[in-house]
Amino acid sequence: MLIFLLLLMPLTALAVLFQNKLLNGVIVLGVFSLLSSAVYFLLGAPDVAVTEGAIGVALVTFIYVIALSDQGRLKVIGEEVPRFLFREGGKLKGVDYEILQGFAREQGLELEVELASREQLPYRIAEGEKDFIAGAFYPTPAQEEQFSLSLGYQQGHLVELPLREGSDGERIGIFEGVPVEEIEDNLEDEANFSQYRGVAEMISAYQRGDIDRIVIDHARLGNVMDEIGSEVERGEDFPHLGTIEYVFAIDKEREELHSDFQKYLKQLLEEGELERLIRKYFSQTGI
Amino acid sequence: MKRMTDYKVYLVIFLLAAFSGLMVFALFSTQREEEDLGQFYLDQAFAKTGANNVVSAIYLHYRAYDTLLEVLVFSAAVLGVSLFARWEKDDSGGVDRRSSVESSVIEGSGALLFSPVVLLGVYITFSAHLGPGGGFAGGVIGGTAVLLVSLAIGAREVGSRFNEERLKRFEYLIIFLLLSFVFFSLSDWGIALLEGMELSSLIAINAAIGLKVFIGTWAVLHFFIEHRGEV
Repeated sequence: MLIFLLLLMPLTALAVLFQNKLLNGVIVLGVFSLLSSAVYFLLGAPDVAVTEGAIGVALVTFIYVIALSDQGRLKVIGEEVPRFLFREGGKLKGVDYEILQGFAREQGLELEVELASREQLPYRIAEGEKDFIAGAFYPTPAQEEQFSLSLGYQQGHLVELPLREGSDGERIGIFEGVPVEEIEDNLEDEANFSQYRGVAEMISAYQRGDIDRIVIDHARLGNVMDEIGSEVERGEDFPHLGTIEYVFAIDKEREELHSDFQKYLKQLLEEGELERLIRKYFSQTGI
Repeated sequence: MKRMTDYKVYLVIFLLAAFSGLMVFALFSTQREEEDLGQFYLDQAFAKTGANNVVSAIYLHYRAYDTLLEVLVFSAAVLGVSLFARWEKDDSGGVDRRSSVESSVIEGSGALLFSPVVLLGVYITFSAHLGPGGGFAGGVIGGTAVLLVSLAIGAREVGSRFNEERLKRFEYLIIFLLLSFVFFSLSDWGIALLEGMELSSLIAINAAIGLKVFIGTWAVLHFFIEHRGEV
């Protein structure tokens, strides 16, 4: 019995090193403590066995679990965009949300989503607070460098909000990173573009009168129209001005998370699960 | 979190192997001349301290300085955790997270188990002179009992029922009392004064250690929970 336990101890110690998930390593470490406690008992040192049992098995394991509880979360920050990531009746929903939920379940992580404006997103990742950017995200060239990006999982169509009354419409506001050339080709008139980091900046520029028109992806149209109180009918047909691809952005230091997520997204694509998800949220309007 | 690179794993394995080799070498190369010392304790301990458990007699009487320094090491660890926790608090700005556990099974079993586990801790602390046990183990068991309750009703709730400052002052007071008592009991006139009271002093020291370790354990768990979120 004693020999068996003594042989088992180095094996469990080695097993700790080769665990892929930290939490599993902690549990195996607890098993190691339990074994050593049994060994102490068999060697006639019940006092030490009791102490080892209390400290090694219970206390240390708990402390590690608490310390790792931060690691067990998938921390996502995203812009609230209808159909992609939005709140309905106090619950989060959307294509992005369901993709992340599935991924978190597969990884054994707890999903934690915080909504923020597009302007804030990059900083929160840079500070190491968050792992993921979601919510129909498309990066600026600088952000393409800054983050690891996932596959493009859905295309967004750029449309324009109608003219401000009494202007010639020359000055157009767009997001940073949107392909300007394509829009220029599709527009009939000459135009000057000003780039903005997010919806809020763009709207305040519009209200100041810095820009006459806003070119934005269709998904965010609702966000902008609500803000400026546009009278345009939602169901109206908008001319197509360009295409962008939505991606997820992942903290560049989390290489493993990035490759796992790419694999997961590819699998969704191949199984047609992604298409089903998108159809679920886009069926009403058929965009 | 990156995985350990392969060479680091091999380095660790190599160091472990070398260390085990050394241990085996040491095992066979030491000569044992102290066997009569063990017999000496077995013969003398009960008569001198009145403790059935020779282990307790040794670590609380003959080797009381060792035990005392061990308590100090534990206190230093607790102090380190609390300092680091306070340091981290400033830039995180106090994250407010509610308990993620909302299971009535956990709540119920937490409430049900709390008293028996605390009782076990107390028993192990106070019966160390009769059988296996001691202040360290008993204190830690008591601390995990509080952890059990914080799993059930949330650590913030439990923490709000303690006055943290007073608890900390109390802990330092115990350390001070322990220190002075051990130095006193090991001095010549202390030994003379405590003649015939060795057993009660053993129990008293164990109780003090148990209380101290209990507070320290809870403090560490509390700091961790406060800064890492609920379990």
